[in-house]
Amino acid sequence: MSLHYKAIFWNPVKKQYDLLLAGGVLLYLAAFTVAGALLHPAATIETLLIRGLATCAFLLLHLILCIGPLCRLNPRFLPLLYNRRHLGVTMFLIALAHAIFSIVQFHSLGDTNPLVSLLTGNTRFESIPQFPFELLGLAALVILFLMAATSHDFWLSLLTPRVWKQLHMGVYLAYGLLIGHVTLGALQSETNPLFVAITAAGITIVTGLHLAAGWRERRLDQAFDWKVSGEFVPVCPAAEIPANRAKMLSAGGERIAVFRYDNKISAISNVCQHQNGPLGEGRIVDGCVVCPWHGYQYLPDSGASPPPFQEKVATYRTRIDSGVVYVDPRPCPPGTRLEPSRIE
Amino acid sequence: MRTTVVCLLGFGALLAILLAAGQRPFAPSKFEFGVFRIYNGIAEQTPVPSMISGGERYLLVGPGKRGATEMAPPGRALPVELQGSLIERGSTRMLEVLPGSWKPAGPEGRSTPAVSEGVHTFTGEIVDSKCYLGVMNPGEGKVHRQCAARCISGGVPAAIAANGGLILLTGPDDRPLSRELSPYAGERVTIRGELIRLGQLQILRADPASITRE
Repeated sequence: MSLHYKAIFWNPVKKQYDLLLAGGVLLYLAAFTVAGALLHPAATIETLLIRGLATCAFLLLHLILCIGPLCRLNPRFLPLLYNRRHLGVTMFLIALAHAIFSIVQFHSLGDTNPLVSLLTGNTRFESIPQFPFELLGLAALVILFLMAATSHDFWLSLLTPRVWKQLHMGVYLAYGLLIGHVTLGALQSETNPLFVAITAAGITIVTGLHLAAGWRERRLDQAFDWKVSGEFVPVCPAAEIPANRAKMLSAGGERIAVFRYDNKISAISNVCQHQNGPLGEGRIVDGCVVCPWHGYQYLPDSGASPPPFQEKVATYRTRIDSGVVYVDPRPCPPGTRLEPSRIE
Repeated sequence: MRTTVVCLLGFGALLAILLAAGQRPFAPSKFEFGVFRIYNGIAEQTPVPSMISGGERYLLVGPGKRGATEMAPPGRALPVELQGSLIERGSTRMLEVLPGSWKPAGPEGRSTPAVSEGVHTFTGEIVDSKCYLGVMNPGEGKVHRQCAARCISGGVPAAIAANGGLILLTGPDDRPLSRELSPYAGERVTIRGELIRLGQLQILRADPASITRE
């Protein structure tokens, strides 16, 4: 979290993350091109590079799409989420390199401008087998560019978290377009069923993880789903909430995180102002609720970030009766300080 | 987390090797990119630009996605000296001519007569002869479609890859079919015409109206 914007902020953890990422990408490209050159001596280096970059970007996209649901299902994967934006920008740059190499290889040095050639070289839109799959890849690249270009917190603040999040949900549209790009392109040229099997496995894993995470959250929501009637609703015995952790419930479609700390109970919105991260899956460290996604902090009694930061989330009234925690599901304005309930 | 990261890196490298290994076999072809040798021989513009040098017939193309039709005067067999990069697949050879290296090397020579082998019908993929013979590998298939269209449109002789071989395509009057065939690049078609043989080259003099998509 920051009050002022720097072009890119690196801390030791991010440096380590980025070094591992760059090392992983280079390892993949080296493995693909060296294995390709050794096993297929007739292959040209340009072809191997184009294919290596394409498969690398596609695999990274799968990894990116899997990180969100994996973290929902198991907090052990949270460190992967911490710097997911750098992963996304890296994936875009690899996809861009693939596109540039392909345009140079297949469209340059001819009788037409390479970009015009790309856009008009195949107009068989009416035929599925002959469909210009390149345009699907180009459309996906435009979406990925918009996401990479607006990945900085400056844009998050300017566009508001809601609009920013909606824009970045475009990754699913880009994924669909890329599935079409691969299916109508490479999979039509390659004869080895391995490629179909790996693509199908990728789609199944991404879809399966999202369904599993959605199913789990739906079950949680249903278990604690209350209509907003203006009355306190029971959450659970206070002793059931681990120290410095939260119990989540859903009321009127909003998720509430009820935290226990220092023998006190406070409730705040579960949705982080940064990127809608699940605050209820975070912990209280040094008196602040820490978002598990990117480390944004909030005071549990007021829902406000500690000065000089300015993020605020809604707070909810709580009380304890016979050891059971109750929450009033009507939200107070973001940043409203409420006296915590004390555990006797 | 360390274990997860190591597993991810290992899985990525393994997958890279698996994907690289699983690629469709590449055709045994050759392109001496950037290597220019001097060739002396008799060059002919029709039915397709080619030259005989050292008893071998070489197809001639320009750099990039360009043909060699602009390099030599049409309709004559000329002794020339030129520099070119060899492109080779099987017994078919081609030279990418270095621009400016084409020099007349004597008075008009004798053209080689083409031998007619009758009317034939072929079914196969429309390709550009330059990429197919080795400049790109693979130089065929859906992924290569737009490149083939660009090459054919730029004057590289169009061809049909059929029955495991390459049959070059011209019009009935030996006119290049760049404009007519580029929309069919990368697609499987059936085409009919008079098959002629020029040395080791097979050429189909086809009416573009006879093309049907498979």
